Amino acid sequence: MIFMIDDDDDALEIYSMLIEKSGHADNFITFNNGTDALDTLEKMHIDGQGFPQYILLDLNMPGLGGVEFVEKYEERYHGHYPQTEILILTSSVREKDNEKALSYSSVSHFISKPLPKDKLIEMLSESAS
Amino acid sequence: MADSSFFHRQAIAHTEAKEKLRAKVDSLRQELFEAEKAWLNLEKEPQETTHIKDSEAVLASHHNPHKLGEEGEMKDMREFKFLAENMAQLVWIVRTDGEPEYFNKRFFEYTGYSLQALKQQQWRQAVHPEDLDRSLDIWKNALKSEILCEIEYRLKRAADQTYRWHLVRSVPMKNDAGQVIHWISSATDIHERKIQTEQIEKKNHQLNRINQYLDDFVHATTHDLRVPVTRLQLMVDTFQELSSEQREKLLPKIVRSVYHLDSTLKGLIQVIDLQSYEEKAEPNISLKQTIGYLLEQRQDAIREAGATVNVHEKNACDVHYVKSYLYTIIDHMISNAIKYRHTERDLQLDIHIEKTDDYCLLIFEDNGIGINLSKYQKQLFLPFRRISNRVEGLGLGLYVTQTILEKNGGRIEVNSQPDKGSVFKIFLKEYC
Repeated sequence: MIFMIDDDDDALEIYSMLIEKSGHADNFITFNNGTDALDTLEKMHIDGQGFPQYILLDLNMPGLGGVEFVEKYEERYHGHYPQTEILILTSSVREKDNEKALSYSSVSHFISKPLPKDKLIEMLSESAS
Repeated sequence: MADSSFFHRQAIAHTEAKEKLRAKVDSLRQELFEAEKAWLNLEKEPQETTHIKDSEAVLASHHNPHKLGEEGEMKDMREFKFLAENMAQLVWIVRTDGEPEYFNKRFFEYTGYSLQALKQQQWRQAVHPEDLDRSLDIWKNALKSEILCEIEYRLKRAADQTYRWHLVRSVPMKNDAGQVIHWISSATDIHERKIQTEQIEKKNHQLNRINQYLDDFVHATTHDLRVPVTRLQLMVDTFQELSSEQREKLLPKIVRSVYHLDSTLKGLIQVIDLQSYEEKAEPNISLKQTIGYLLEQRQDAIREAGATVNVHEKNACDVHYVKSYLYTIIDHMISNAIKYRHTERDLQLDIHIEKTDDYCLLIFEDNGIGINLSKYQKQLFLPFRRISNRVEGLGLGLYVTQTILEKNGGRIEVNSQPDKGSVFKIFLKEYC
């Protein structure tokens, strides 16, 4: 399962369209803010439904920002689900922002936007297997 | 030809004359020495004589009696006096307990105090009140640690009652046993240099701020330009793979992305214009009338929001300001209150106008969604930042408002509680 968290509703909709026919649509869940994503993670944690393998996260969002999301995530869930990786989706061209994001142990990579469709499908296949 | 007795008498007479002459010379030397002593003691008016005597005592105690006789000490004292009295600096000597013993002529001229007043610690009144405690602390530490100290503080000049910055250097004077016997201090007027240094430091601080601001600005701008670009890139890259139905869904998104890009660029141009705009301030602009006019311009949006807007003018406030700036500030404030209104209640906006000593104060108080300041205070005034994605906008309003206000020494303050509302205080500094 993959979570994508981005305040860009149009981009989320396009990605959803792109994977419609890939057979992975049920495993791709989008959120346009970090708070809703944390709420869903909490439900999954309590219900013991398993956890997403990848969380694709935008850094610059109004409200709960990407870095704040990671901080809250690590505090509550990272110890329970160390296999879950957060991948930062970024439009930022400033190296220090990326460096800061990579300093969190739950963050494995950062990917410059736009995330290629093939890469997304590859990740979804990997998480399904 | 004269006989030998004649030469003998002549020789005796010559010797006697020489002795008389020597005695006379000795007597004159003694008179000169006494005169020098008297001159050192009596040349000044009585109150200053005391401090000259003190300076002699100070010097005498400093001298090594084995090396210099009384005459040598006098010579040194005369030289010290000559030096101290003709220096442009203020010079004084204090005892190890901090009691003053000597002040030079320049000190009396500059401070306007008598020796008696200075000895009664009235010199403290010459030190700027803001500098006194700090300076005394440093001085007390120096007395304790017996090492040279340098302090910068302001001293009041009697002639025009203005404070001027001085560099005060106090050096401990030690005897052969290495014990401090007195402190010699001098104060050098560094006012012009200090003011220049302060101006340079202020400029440096401003430049650092501008650098930081430019860094944030460039970052925020490039980010906001890249968002629609990356979205368009994604759409173009995948367009071929989509069904005709999906393409139809995609088209309005492409159009929206292009418009987003365009409005971001327009916002950027607006900000650049603001930086290079040549201000032409106008006098007597009524804040109440300006607010009234702008509320009228926004009446449709106000009606749609079900808003009640009240303007409270504590005292009449006509400002000398750049009209277009004033319009921008007030319009942003009204527009933000409407945009960030609470979804579960009608907007109540109260605008207060108040003239204070230094500013014209505008307060915009609303019952909107509020802001979590502990989270967003830092990014609130950055360009292209929005605290909610519920509303449309570039996130430039507060940034532009702050930039305009700070251009001539004004500022903006915010107090807010999530879910309760916000209070924005606009401190308008009038143009001269």
